[in-house]
Amino acid sequence: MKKIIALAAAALFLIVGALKLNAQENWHCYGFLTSCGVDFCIEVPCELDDQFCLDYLDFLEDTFCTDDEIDIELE
Amino acid sequence: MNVVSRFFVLSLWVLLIIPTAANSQPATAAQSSIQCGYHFTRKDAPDKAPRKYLNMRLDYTDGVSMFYDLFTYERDSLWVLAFDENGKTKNQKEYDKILSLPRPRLGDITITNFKKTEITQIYYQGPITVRATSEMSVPDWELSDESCTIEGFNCKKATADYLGRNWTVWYTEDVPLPAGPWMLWGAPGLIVSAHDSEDIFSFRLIWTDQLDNNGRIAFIDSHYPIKSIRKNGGSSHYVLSLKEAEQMCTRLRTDAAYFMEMTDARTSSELLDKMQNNMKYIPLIPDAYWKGK
Repeated sequence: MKKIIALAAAALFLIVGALKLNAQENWHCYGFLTSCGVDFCIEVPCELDDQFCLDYLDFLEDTFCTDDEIDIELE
Repeated sequence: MNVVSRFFVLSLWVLLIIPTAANSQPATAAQSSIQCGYHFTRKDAPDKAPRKYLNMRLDYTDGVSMFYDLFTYERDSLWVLAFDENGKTKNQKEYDKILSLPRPRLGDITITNFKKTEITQIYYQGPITVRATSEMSVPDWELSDESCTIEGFNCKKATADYLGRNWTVWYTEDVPLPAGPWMLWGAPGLIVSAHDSEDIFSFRLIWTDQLDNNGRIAFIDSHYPIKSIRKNGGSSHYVLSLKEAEQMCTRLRTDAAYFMEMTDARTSSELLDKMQNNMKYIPLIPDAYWKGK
């Protein structure tokens, strides 16, 4: 009886592990190149829409490219 | 020249002069709408050179004001044209216009409703936006007799401890509106210039004019919803209290791992370190202000 329980537990762990591994394989990779030449790659668990990608690029530009900014003032 | 001709010539001169005279008058108390141009500078770290936002605007109309970056407003306007409701590009030309907008641009916006005595703050951190509305607290301005002229306006000085910082402002009763940049308000006139005692932040009025478009405030107010939205693979929008919003945004701007977590993204430890090294930010309302509140 004890052997059956141990085998069942091991099988359960194997199934859960396999499911998690399978889920990880569904990650999507995205690369961003900023105007100051920073190459930034991220992985996300689902496909991103265009708006999110542009927002993300906006964030990266603000984070990495501030020293290269030129002061522009609209008259 | 006979009488009729003289009368005609005189009338012509009067017609030419009146429009010119009207256009040359500065914004006055009688106007219920005004728009102003400001420069805003802020330091991301005490030892760094300040970041300059040279296209800030203050729109005031019908008891409501909005302080925003002109290029952020243009971005938001183009957003509606460029993307559909699922975040997919529907107009490549408008999308390209967004990419070509100049930087830096301040993504944060302040809407002050003097009639409802409430302030709405909108924060933009890439794919995460936050909206917070709070009752307005009146700065306890200590008025001084000191005066000077700034951009042609007769200004007087006032100081106050407000939202965790000691502010010095110059206001003008030539424009008797209680408005000012960001959340600075409640002086006897329009706030023309302001800086904190640590010289981290400064605002300066550059010009005033008649409001050319009284629809911007309503557009921005509706563009950032009053309910939280979370989309898988899409940008997120949170509606929080002012304290929660300020603390969340400070963390998003200083903690790379937190930003990655909130955007459901992961990256290499090398890139994460690189991001963290570049994330420098000092909030207008210091963290210490919120302790015990």
